[in-house]
Amino acid sequence: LGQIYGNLQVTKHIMSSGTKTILILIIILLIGGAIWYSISNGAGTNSTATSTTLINPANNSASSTSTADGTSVSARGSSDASLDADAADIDARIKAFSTDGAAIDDGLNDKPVSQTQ
Amino acid sequence: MTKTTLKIATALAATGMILATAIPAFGSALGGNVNLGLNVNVKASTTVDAKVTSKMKERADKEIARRIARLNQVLAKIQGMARVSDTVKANLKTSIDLQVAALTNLKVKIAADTDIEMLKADVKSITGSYRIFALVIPQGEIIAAADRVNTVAQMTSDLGVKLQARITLASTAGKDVAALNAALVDLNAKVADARTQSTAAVNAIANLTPDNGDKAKMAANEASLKDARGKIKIAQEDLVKARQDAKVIVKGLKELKIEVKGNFNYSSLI
Repeated sequence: LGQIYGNLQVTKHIMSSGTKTILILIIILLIGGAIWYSISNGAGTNSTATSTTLINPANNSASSTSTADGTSVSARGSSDASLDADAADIDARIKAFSTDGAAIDDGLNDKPVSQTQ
Repeated sequence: MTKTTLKIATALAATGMILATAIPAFGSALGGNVNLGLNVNVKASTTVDAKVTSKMKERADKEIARRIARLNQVLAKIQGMARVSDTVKANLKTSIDLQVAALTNLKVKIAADTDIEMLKADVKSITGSYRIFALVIPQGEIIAAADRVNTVAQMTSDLGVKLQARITLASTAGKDVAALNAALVDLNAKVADARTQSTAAVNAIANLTPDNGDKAKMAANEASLKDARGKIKIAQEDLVKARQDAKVIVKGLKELKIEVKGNFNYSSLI
């Protein structure tokens, strides 16, 4: 900040005070945003015995699958809580397997309503 | 004698006159009775026909309504499919739309039928078209089930990628992950087999056509549908087992207590 302010001092004779105020505000906002991003990224950590920091993602390479809450399995992250949420979504869909099977059997065993008099 | 003869003759004449008047009336009455009897029979016959017609129409209406409702049910499922190819979906939708339109037209025609023979022919066509219905419904249900299998397979696969990353992380931290890796290998194998089975199920039935009364074709169609049903069942069981593997891995990872900070690039760890 000091260096930036110094640079601003050097150029003060060619910049109006209004421009300087706007520049300072932008810098403050950028720094604030960076701090907020840093804090929010670290919010999901688990405090456990061993600590290993992972690289932040360039992308989530796996294809995503939408879930009931609008997120996707691959987009959720990999904390214990995220894995539990993914598993719960999968469980909900697996429960519907029995309905699917019954519907197929129903179709295979269907009998027409008799039309004889 | 003469008086007696005259009395008898008068009595006979009177009787004759009475009978002469009464017999035609009696004959007419008999005729009337015959005619009345015929009229009753005609009326009864008409009433019976009306009852039969009404019954036939009621039964036909019920069956047509049942089929349209079932077809629409499958159509709704098809519209919600996410992972079955557009071609398969479009073909099935076309078949169902045609069936619904044909049944709707038939329903209208039967309701308007006044000729008993025409009504019988229309009602018979319901039975005749049943084979199409009996093919399209299981086809649709199998494809819908395959779609869900593919969705769950993808979700489990995505989860597997995360689990792989977490296992690698634990391994890097010096933890024993042999059991977790074994479970993950099984998970991936089960997901792969589920996909293979569901694809085979769809391929087995996607191009089946109505038998049109051909018994050999009917038997072949039934066999294909049942085979596809078996494949869907295996795929579903695969995914249940894959989910159990995931459960084992997640539990194991939690016990290893490896801290995970934020998101990360899974592919860089695999």
